[in-house]
Amino acid sequence: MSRSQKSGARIFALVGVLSLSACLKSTEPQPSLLQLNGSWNYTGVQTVPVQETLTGTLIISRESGTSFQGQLNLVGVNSQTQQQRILSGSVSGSESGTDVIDFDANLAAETTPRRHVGQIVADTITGTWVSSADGAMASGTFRVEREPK
Amino acid sequence: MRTGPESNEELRVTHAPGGSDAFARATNEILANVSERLSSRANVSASAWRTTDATSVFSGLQSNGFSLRPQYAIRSGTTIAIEARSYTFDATSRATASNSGGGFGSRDDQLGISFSTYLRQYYFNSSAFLGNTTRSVSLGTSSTVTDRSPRNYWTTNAGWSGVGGIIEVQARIDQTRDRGGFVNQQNMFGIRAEQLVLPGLGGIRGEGDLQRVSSFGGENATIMRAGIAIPLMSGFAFKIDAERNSIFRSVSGRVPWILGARFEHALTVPMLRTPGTSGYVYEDLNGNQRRDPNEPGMPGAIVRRGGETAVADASGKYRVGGDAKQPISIDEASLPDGWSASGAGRGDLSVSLSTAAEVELVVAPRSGISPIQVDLSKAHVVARDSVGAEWAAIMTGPTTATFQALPVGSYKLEFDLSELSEPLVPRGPIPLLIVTGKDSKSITITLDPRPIRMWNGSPGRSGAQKNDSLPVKKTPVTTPKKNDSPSGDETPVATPNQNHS
Repeated sequence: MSRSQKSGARIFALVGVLSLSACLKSTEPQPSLLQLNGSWNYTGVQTVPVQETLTGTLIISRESGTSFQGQLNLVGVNSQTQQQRILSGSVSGSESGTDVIDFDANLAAETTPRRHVGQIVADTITGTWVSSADGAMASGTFRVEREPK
Repeated sequence: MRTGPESNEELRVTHAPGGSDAFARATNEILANVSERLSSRANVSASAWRTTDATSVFSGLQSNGFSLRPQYAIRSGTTIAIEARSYTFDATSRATASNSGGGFGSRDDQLGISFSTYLRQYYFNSSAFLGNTTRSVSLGTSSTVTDRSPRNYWTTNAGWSGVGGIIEVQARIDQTRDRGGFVNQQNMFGIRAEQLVLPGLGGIRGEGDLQRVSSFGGENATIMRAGIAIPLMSGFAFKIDAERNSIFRSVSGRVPWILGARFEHALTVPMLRTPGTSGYVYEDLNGNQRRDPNEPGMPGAIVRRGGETAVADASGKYRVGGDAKQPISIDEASLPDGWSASGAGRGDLSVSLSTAAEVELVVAPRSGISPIQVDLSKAHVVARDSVGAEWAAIMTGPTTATFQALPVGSYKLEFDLSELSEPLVPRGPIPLLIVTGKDSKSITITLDPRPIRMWNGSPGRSGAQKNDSLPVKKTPVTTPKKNDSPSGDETPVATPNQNHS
């Protein structure tokens, strides 16, 4: 291998390592602008395709800038059959604008995330959610209130 | 929809006024799927769709998408594919007492590569996709905010699948960078078993999942699920499941085991269909008028019963309505050249390839005497098939009797020579006329003159020729209907000299 080839290989390796580390390593968390950390009571309704009431807990465990992550644990009750099911999974979202909260709930029982978009007023977020897989949709409304300390 | 061995095309347009509130997929939906085989190793599939909907929560829900996937078979059982896909979604929510309504949307664009292979009962699939997600939100007093971030993932599964169950190893890395600078990377590694026969436990099957999800919100999660299915009498099974998901916590903060038990019984529910008769239109290769295992269907054949019409599918299967008491006939115009229907029926209907056949008649010279001249134009030659039906030939030459269209099969030849000027006898044994395909068949039959017996002076004896020693069977040739069509009309006979009794 010639000298120029060696230096080219080194540059290529360096760029590769930097690129890989940029991809894999998270940027250091920034100060949170939201102060959403903590537990929130989640209540909601699925209106489509079947009516279902949703109750549970939203836990925000990590914040950085306008972004946050956490988990959502729900119990869904079919309004007609009263059959219950457990929905749990991770949550990842951000604040858009001044008062809009936008997050995805990746629930274990579902193939596509439920996108929640709502407005935050004091310690209450109200809004709508929707998920869509190949054109088949599920949607509803939600309300989350911070648990009293 | 158009389905063929090399291509499939489907276009579906649906309008359901109630939309998803009335349990439809959407109010309006248009979907197109295309799959084309480009060569023995390459094919391409594409799809595109658009839906619009409205619900009590959303005044507008729209989604559009497409995917394009060329695929190449490296060798048998091993394929590699490239896939491009794009998906757009927009929602407009209605205003409520606590929410002023607004809209949000998203767009996903991805390009990926997939590899898939199997060897006997082992399989391996892997795919990697690079792309980005664009999101927009416009709620309340906020102006529209748009955010674009990369989204990449790699997923792999490998396993064994057989009558003893399925064992599979799974891995997935999902990576998204959000506006705050996080790289939301979720790694999942898992192993699962399904319908796994547990040795020495009398047919009890086990199943389970073990998944480890890491780098999610700075926390790790382990999901465990295990269960067994115990077969009982009459197809019933008793199932016990236990699941523990470290994401799901009880009020006390504990991660509980969730137990479940249930009885299950699988039922096969017949499809509700309109009254009708189904069967196959098949190629009767051996002429026995029964569908044998090696006899293929005749796709595209049109069958009729009364005013009802149906077309046989790619396997030759048809289903036709109408009065079940009436027979079903095949429209011979729908058959390829040379093929004809064997008759009307109610289940499987046979078609067979018709072939011209000739019987050459040769008059043997009388031994020791000069050759004889006989006009054979009044000879009648009949072929009798395996079920006893008669097929008549016409004299197309001085010594040639021709069957213009005989279905495939074996025929016993019979001769009526009673109208000839000279008494002749077919020389035995008379060979079978075997019709096997499109090529014309020819067979030669020697006709022997009756020996002349000379008068020897004995009283009571005549010196003239006698016919009483001729074993010729006279077969009446009629022209009945070939098919017993339901309308009572006579189905056209392919050749006017065919008789099918």
